[in-house]
Amino acid sequence: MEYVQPAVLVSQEETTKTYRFENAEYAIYSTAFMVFCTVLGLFIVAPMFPPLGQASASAEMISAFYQEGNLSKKIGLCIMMFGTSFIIPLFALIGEIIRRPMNMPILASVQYGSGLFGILFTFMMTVSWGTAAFRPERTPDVTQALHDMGWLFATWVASATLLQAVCICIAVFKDTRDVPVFPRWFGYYCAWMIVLAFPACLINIFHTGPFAYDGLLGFWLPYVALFSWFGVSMVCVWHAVKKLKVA
Amino acid sequence: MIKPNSKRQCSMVFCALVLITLGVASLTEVTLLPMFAKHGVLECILITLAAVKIMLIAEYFMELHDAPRWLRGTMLTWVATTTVVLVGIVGINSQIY
Amino acid sequence: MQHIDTMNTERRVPVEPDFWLLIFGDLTVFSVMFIAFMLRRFESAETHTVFSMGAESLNQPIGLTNTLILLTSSYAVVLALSHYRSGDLRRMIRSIGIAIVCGVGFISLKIVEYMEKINQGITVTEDRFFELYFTFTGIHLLHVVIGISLLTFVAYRAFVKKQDAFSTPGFIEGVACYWHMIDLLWLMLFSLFYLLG
Repeated sequence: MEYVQPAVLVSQEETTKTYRFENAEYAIYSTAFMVFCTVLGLFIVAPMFPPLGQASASAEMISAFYQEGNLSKKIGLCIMMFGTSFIIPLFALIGEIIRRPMNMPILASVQYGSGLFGILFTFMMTVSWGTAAFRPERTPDVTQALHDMGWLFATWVASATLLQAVCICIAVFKDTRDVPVFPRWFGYYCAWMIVLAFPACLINIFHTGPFAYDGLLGFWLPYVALFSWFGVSMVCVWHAVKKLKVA
Repeated sequence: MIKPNSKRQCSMVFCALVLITLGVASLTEVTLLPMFAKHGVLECILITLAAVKIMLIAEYFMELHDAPRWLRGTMLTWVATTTVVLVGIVGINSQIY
Repeated sequence: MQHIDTMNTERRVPVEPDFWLLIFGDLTVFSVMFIAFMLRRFESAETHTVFSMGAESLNQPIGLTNTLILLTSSYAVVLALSHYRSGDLRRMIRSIGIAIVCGVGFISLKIVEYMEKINQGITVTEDRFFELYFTFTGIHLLHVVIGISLLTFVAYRAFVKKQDAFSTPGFIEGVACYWHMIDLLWLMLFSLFYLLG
């Protein structure tokens, strides 16, 4: 009996070690689905992105923007609303990788929590635009306010994403083993994203110029960084999972 | 073991940087050549001198002078591209204004 | 000097190859900003005048002093790295201290400059020039704050002699390179905002 017990324990440990990341690819497929929904919903069906000249547009122009093609905007926002939550598995997987093999539980929790927080505000962005598109015939001022609010939810709340990037960044740099789980350029990429996310905190001040929510630093750079981050993190997590399944 | 970087070389580069900065600042004060300023030549000179200073810092302070070729090349490409685009914008538009 | 150069025949990447992704990413963002500044300057005859007048109204001596201060601090960081490599941690901390004092001086002069403008009633929404002036120098100032925090962190780690992932030669070199990048960006910002008038 005494001799059997440790053997069972060892095999259990092996089981947890080996099978912890067994079906982890599904998190990456799920992220790909989220990116697909976002691109289809926000870029193609409801052309909310990019917001060309909307920060300085008049209320009537914004109202007309919602009145023409109203149904396609509603459908696009539905797709977006459905797809957004499919990024959560990726955050959970990154959290689990940071928690177990890299052994940094607090960073993992903060990463996961701030990731969820960022998602929450993406939902609120969709809800604001959905409300704006819900009754397009109302007073233009209200539609404009809802549209602006959507953009502020989308871009202005950069601090959650920023904290998440800080956590991943620290975790990657503290991992000093011979074969690190994440490549180090992933950490530097996150550091670069942190620097890019800061200007997005200024978009509530400007109606024109690069810092307005349709400008260079208020829209183009943060969203290019964000969407390329999805791709980069999917690749890095894919390789990390492959490495962890072998180990 | 990494060699300690040459202090004398860095001091010389530092002196050069300070001198160029002071020179550039005094260049804008002198209104000796007003026709230069009109055609954007002065602006091109200022941007180019800033690019030279940037290259000095990159080569000697960031220690790119003994880096592999791809890294130096990327840095040089960045500096050259930015400078050429800025100078180009000045060159095209200073004819109009 | 000759023998040092011949001693090191093997070419090495400063810090590590991955680090340069951050530097070039940041540099690219700033060069896009410089180009946006230039394009906006030549948008119309009116913006051209606005930009010239804006550059005239800036405090040139403070700008020049700030440039010299940043150059000095960069030089101090070079010395600090040199002391670190020869194993002299006390002198390294002293050099980093000089760099930090210079950085704080840069920030205080910048705040003086901002206050001067704000007291004149010129704020960020005044005109096209000041919009860009406040935001671009603000982003640069943010870099300076991050750089000073990193330098302080490095000096503190060297002081308590703690050993982990953030006290490796690579990390210290990386912080030094980041500080030089801040210096390098300021040189271009100084030329664009203060000198092109």
